[in-house]
Amino acid sequence: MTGMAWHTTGPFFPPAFIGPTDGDLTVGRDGTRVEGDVVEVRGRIIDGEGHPVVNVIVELWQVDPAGQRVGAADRFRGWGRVWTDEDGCYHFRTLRPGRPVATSGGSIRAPHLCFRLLGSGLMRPLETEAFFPDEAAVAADPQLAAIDPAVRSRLMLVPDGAAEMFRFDIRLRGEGETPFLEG
Amino acid sequence: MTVDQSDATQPPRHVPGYRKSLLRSPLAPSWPRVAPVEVPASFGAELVTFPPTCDLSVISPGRPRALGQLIVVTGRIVDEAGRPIRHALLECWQANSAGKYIHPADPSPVPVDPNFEGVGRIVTDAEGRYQLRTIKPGGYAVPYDGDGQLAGWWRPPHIHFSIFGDGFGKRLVTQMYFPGEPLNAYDLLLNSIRDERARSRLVSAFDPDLSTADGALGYSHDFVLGGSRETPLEDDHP
Repeated sequence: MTGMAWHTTGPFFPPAFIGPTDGDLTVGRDGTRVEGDVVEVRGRIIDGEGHPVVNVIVELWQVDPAGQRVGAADRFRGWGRVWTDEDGCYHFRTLRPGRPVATSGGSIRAPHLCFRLLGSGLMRPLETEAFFPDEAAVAADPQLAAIDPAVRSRLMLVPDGAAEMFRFDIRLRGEGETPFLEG
Repeated sequence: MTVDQSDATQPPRHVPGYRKSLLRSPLAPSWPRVAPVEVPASFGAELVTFPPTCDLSVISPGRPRALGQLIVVTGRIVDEAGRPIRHALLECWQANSAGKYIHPADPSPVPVDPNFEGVGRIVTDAEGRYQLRTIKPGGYAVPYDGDGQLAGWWRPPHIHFSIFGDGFGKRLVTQMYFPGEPLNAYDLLLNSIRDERARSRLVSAFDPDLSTADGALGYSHDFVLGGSRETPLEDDHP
């Protein structure tokens, strides 16, 4: 028995499902701040005609500031979700994932953020990963290495003015298309 | 969820006639995963302690019941091995009995029912069970969206579900349909799934034994969550 078929969320995903701190992973499960280096990531989602995509549900998850998989009892939630506004923009506050990231499969990963996009027109979610350009481990990340060097740079977070502020724009289709990873 | 191009049990990214699915589907195939995805062990059920039953037919005690045919939808959430998933979070949303969503993005001139919001959350019980009491949603015409959109596309009555299983990796966003609806045979989304059996699993079953003395018709519907991330590999051109 395989998993059931996915469908699009359609355009009417209820905003009420997304709480006021769902995009702020620095707020722990108990409602208090979790220790770590705070980073902000914002970006814009653009469709195949260059238009901003509104009402995309952006889910983010990551390992904790020590580089460990987030456990069910940890204060750090390790995931959040927001939706894109009328300009197609989203914003997260989180804690920088620790280094190195040792996966359950034994490989060593560079610190990264995982994204999943849901929304109208997306029959199945789109997933991708965003990497920190100032992390030395990026050069040896096995997932990044498996992606065509010509498009690899599109998965790098772009420093955005202040320290620990980054941009990650996502182009769904066409010129400058973001590389997506299998679900 | 892992999907390859030959997987007839999942919809394609581009559904012909559905304009937004073209504008939003990547041209390049997805890159294979070469390392496990380290997902958080929990979405946080300890924070969202919703009961395993939910009643959308009455907004709050004392308010009139929403207009339309009262229904009960019940079933289990299981994994691919058929094991129940306890404490899974279901988020559901639907149109009212006339086919109108209470959402700022719904431009439809169809009337609003002041006694229906159509949004609910449920956490499954120890056997993976859930029960939703609501009114049957109406079908509606999808607005024409420009070149590439099928004119005269109607959505059949359906309920949206977004599910977080045990462990953040088990995730499903889908829609549930009703048996015997003439629009089912014409719907672009349902019929984009080529495998007949996979399609039929999205259609609930009428079950007279679930119907209630106060006038609710009963439907049973189980959800099967994938989420094993071991299997390769996605290669889906639109």
